[in-house]
Amino acid sequence: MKDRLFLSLPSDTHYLSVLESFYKNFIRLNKIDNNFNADNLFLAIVEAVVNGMKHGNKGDLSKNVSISFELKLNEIIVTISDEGKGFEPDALPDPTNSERLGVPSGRGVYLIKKLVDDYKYIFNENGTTVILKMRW
Amino acid sequence: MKYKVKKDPVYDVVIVSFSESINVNDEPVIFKLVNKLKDEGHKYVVFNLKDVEYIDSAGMGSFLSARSILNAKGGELVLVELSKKISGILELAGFYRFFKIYETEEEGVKNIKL
Repeated sequence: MKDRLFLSLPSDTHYLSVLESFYKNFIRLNKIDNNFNADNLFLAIVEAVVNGMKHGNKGDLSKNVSISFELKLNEIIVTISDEGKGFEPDALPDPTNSERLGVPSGRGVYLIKKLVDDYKYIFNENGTTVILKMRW
Repeated sequence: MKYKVKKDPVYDVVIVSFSESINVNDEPVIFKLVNKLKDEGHKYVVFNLKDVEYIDSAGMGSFLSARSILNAKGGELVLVELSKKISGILELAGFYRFFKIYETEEEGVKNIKL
């Protein structure tokens, strides 16, 4: 198994099932440490990919969301890139505030921050990139 | 996501048992299901999450919407039989405190109207 893999998905959330089997195989074939929280990382990846498809690429099927998985000695680095304009994640209000419970935007970003050890957003004219890191 | 619906005639409660994962694609399905139950006159609904593998933020959002729909009719939504993983995600996301949660389906059915 190579320690770096790529996946590119059209901007349709029904492709999440492809991502799920890809990720499960990546974890299984690399025999990643049992202490590693694979579920939390997967959920963070799903949130970032859905944001890229819906908010970044606006569901445009001609635009893709690409995901790369990189295995290091004691961490996984997942890089998710869309072809959209980007946003300021820290400017999003707290979605668990009672007054904002009915507002769907911002929940995914909020959850990503809670789920992974480290994250970073990079914006440029070609789109938004999210880098997620999870250690064990 | 898959789900099964059953009715408890004694307590007049509808139980929806979900399985597999609940994600952004399931949001409209849950919304439609809860509205259909409401239109049929059911306002007390239990979501059994025993066989749910993971839930994303849109899935949690759909639970909040379901709760609002039922609350607006004077009803209630309760969640039961959450695995450690699912309750952990709900807590992490900050949504745990917005739901009535019971360990067993029986407890949920009995207490939903309290």
